[in-house]
Amino acid sequence: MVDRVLLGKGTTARGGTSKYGLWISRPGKDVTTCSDDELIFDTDKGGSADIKGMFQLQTVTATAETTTTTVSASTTTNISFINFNWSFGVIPIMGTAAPSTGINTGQYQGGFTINSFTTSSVNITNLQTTALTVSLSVMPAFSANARF
Amino acid sequence: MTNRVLLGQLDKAIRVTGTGIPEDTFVKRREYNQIGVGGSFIVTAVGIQLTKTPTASPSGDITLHFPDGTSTFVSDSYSSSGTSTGLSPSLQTNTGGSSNPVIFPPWIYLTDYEESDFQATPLSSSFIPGRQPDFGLKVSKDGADVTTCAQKDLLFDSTSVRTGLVYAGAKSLTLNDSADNFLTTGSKASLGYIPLVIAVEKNMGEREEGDGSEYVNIDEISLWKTTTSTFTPCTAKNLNGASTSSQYTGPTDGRSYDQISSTDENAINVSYFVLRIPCAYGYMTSTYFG
Repeated sequence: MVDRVLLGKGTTARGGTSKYGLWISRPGKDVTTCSDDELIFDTDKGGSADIKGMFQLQTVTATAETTTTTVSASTTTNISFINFNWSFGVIPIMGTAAPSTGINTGQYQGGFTINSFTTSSVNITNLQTTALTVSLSVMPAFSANARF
Repeated sequence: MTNRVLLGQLDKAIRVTGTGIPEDTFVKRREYNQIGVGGSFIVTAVGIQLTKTPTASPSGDITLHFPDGTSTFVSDSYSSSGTSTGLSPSLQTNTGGSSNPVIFPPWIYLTDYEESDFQATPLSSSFIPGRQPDFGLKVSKDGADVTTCAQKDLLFDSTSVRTGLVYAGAKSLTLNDSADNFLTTGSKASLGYIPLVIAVEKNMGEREEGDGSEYVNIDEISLWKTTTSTFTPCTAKNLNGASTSSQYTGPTDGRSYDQISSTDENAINVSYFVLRIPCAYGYMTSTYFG
């Protein structure tokens, strides 16, 4: 059995013994010596080339013109959400529903544009002539820079 | 309040200790020996297969430690397969005259584990993972008990081989038809594989345009090509007269659909996350996921 969880002082492979944090390796890999790519949780070393965070979507309760995330045909609207106030802002992850019956089963249906977003809302335009149901999650932006 | 964080041994398992038993040995399998009494069965002994082979023939008391942390069963009357490995000697238990599946080494046959012991300290199958138990870290979602919840209710699970570690990314870029090199910022080293990239942009979903003589319907305008270093908006291509798959040239870089304006197709206000997860032919193998 190999060591999988390292909590506390780091090792050479983890940036040196002056580093403290939590590292977890994937099954079968020794967390004290494995490569960074073999980690499934990584306390970064503070370098510019290190990981920037975890991709963990936050599912939000959103409201549009009514109390759902259905956007009327050919309409621009704000979909609002609450409880997120990350200082670098958010990045919305959005998609449309796919029908479960008919010849278009499993295909994305509907087109839209994401015009702008803030920490409390996403402004979108439904390009279709029918109502559009969108799903929405948000991620925190990890940096004030355009690239990170 | 529910348990949210589990650090250490993740599986509930029955630990076995005694002279000759290696450290961190657990019950891998169990079969009860039962006889029929008055139309029902009672336990007269139990055979257990161990996760580790004894370093010497077990001697003295053998103790089973149950997952509640307090319950134990101590045996001083047993036989064993000693230090044997392989298929011999095997152990046969019975339920009423019918044979149970054979247990192969390493095993211990606890002949003083009887019905009263079964009632007090049953070797529940939920305590027998069938292998050496996993150690690691699990974190559950709000309201879910980490010790009992389904995997879908976990925020973090160290039994996973890959997680969404964000290696690079960008926010609100206007790329139009151009590629973006996600290794440039911070002079990042190549991951050595084509990674999974999650992206969102202004133009999403279907586009339908026509000028009366030609009609274009694109199922998903937000189409991208990923290499080990770049993320490029691209245009889907149909077979366009190709008669064999080898003649098909595949998507082209940039967005250039006939009938669709640049405003409606270009990569505008692009945000993306590059994850430490291989996602390409040739990379989704045990080398990267094992």
